[in-house]
Amino acid sequence: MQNISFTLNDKLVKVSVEPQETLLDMLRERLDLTGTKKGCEKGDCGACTVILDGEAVNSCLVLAVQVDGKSVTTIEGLEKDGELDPIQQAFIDKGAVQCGYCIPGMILSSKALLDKNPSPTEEEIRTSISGNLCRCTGYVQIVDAIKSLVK
Amino acid sequence: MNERILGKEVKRVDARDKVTGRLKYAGDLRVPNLHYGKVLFSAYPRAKVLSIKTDKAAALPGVKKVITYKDVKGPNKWGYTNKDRFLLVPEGELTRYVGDSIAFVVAETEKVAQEALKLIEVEYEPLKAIGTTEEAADPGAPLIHDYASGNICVVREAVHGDVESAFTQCDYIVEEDVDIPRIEHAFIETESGIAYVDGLEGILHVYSCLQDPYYPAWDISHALGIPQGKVHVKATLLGGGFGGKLDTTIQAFLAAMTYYSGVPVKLVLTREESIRFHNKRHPAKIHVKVGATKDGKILAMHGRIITDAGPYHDRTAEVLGLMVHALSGAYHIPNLDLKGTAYYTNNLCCGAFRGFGDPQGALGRELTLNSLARTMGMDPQELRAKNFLHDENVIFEDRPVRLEQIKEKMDSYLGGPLPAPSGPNKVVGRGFSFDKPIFDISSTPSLGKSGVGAAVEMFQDGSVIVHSGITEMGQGYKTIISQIVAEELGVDIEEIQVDLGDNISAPRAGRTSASRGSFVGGNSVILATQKIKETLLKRAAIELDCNKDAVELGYKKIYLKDMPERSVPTKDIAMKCFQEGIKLREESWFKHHKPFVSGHTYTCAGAEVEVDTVTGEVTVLKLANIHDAGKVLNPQTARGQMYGAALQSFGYALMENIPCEEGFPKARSFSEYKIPTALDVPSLAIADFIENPYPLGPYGAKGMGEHGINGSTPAIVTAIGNAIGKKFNKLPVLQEDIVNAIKG
Repeated sequence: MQNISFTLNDKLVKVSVEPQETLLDMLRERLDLTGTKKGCEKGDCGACTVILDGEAVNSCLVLAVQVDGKSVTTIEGLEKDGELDPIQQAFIDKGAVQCGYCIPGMILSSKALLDKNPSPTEEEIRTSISGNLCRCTGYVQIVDAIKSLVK
Repeated sequence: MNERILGKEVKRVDARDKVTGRLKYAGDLRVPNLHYGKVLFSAYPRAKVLSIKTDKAAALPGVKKVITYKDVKGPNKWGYTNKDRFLLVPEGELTRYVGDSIAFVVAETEKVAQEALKLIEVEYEPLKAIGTTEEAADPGAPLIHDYASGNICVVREAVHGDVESAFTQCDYIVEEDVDIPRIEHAFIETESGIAYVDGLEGILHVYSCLQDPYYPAWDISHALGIPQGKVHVKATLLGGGFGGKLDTTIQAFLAAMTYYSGVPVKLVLTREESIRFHNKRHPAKIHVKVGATKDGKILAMHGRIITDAGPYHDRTAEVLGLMVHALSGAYHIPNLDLKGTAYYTNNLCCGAFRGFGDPQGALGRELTLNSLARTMGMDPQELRAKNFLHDENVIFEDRPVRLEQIKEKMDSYLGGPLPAPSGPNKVVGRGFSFDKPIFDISSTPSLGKSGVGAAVEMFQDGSVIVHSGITEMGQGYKTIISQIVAEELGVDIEEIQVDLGDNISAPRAGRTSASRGSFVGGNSVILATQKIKETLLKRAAIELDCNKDAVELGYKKIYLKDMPERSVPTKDIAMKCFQEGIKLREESWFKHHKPFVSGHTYTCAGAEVEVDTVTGEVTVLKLANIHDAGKVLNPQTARGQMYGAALQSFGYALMENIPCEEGFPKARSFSEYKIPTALDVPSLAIADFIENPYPLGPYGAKGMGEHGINGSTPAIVTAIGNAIGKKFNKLPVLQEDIVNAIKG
């Protein structure tokens, strides 16, 4: 076991992890943050996307020990004092959510984009979520939701 | 009728929990002392299991139990239609596909369970698998099931009139062969769940992602030999289903794991396991011969379908029946000779998938009609208009909209001259198709007799709970039911709880499939709310000192029709009812007067594509669906259903295929089985509706969940063909197919 400390949703946390443990498993199994979803464990589907030091990453491809000293944002970290993040609200308003399983990852990928580039083109939006598979929506209302926040 | 909530863009009631990550899907659930299960799947599609040795696996620290057929006390069989699958394949028996289960491991962690799998020693005698329908049909082929001679799973036919003599009166006859692949649902949430037993003699609880809580309860009870009354199956909100979670998946595994290990168990399939295990969309080889007079009247159709069911029956009879039915589609064809044959093979098992046979039938039909129009030199839409079904020749009270009405709307999106190609070596084309997808309005014969149930209760504070056996898999049922109750009982959406997919608390409702949820579930909920409303009005009339017929229920109050200012809050009446022991809980059953009846919608799909003639790359510029909705209950969720289904057709037309080679699937992951990403799909997806109220529907609504996929696939394939002046009869249409077609 290895001790690591990192910033998780704006709070400093300390965790003991196995050397081969993924960030995804640590979040879900040790920290009970099940908003981060497991879809393939191979980096193909994007359901496990979290934001690591400002970049959207597949948490199934990151080892827990790699986040030592870094900052991780999961879906649970977006709502502040009962107020949804604008991207969460936009997904509700535009009907972007169906089964919802891809949605935490989808929201975090688009948040990482908008934090860096508040005025993305549709092509940039689609590229930013191209690693997040959705089988329900055809991405139509998801892209609408992200576009509605473009400054 | 002037609705307060129905027909409005009400936000999904489950959306907030989904965007915050709060919603617990099956794989997120936890209970004390939870252990983890793993399944040892067969290493071969067809092999004799000579011996299974579990000693080493059982001795691994952290392993609670290794379960084989020897542990199973019941008949050890499950499966829809025939109960033809072993829960655990016994020694001496044959495996039938790579999704058969040989052993279960229950351990303290998933990692230990995974390690233990490797320590189970299974001795197989591998046998040559039946890998194609041709091999299955060979008279010398071994039988996959002893009772199925010729390896024939099922034959479905539709015969009407005299096809042979009708063809002699035709001026034009064409024949086409259409080749359609097996495809994968690719829901992002794999099969998952937890199970535990209350004490030694208590109820077995299974919480899992599933589309029908009732059938898995039967499968569990049958396989393990335990009374059905002891089996509680509850559907969690699904991370996608699309038919792939319609029949029992891992629920009997979970039940056996917890029952024989004595501890609570979680089981989550990996993506590789999910792909090898669950039912796929049936592949199909379709031969269609169709004939018409020179003025475009289609007189006869002869069709033959061959499909590969995989090793078990499951829903094949129903899917194939619909595939055969769909060959004639939305057209009046007086003479039909249609036949479909499904064979058993050792390939992946096939079953329900959004559209349920209709997408394959629609491809066979629409692509052949294009060929007929081309041969006749007739506009393909004109050919369809001349043969479209009208009121007088529709047997089930469908209220079809007229083709001209659908076409007019389609033309407003995809009419006029084609856009200019975006550059050199690019060509543009359009394709259209018409379809008549079904939605179930009365369910199976057994449920058709009883009807589809729902229970609704108003509490003394005026809040309401609905118990419905229909499940929420993303389609928006929970929201639609909330809208219906809010409308009927004059309460706010926030005052309503909708409890779904529970085989014990919800009256029988059958499966969530066949675009039936909002239709049958909605109707049964309306019936229950109407009885509650009746009770409230009666009690309120006493309070307002008037006749019951003089009062009406409005938003949060009951008032005198003639003097609306004289009113009483509904919740006060609910409290009176509680105090006086007047029942405000009702169970109602929606029943159609004929069992096993389907309704139909009449739809048009249109695609506009650009093809790069050098690389063969296809860009779908526009993909439109015009849908005969009856009544749109929630425009936002309705559009979502149409977009989602239509864009699944994009993958079907251009990308997806999961071939099997001697029973082994050629894809095990999303890197080998590609589904469309946000970059692939058209940026202009259109969904529009025609509202022609359907008398049997809740507020006039028809079903719609599946309907966007059926017509969209042939529309895209046709558009590509039109763009380059060629035809494509084999899916998926790959870039190299297009380049080869252009070369000649």
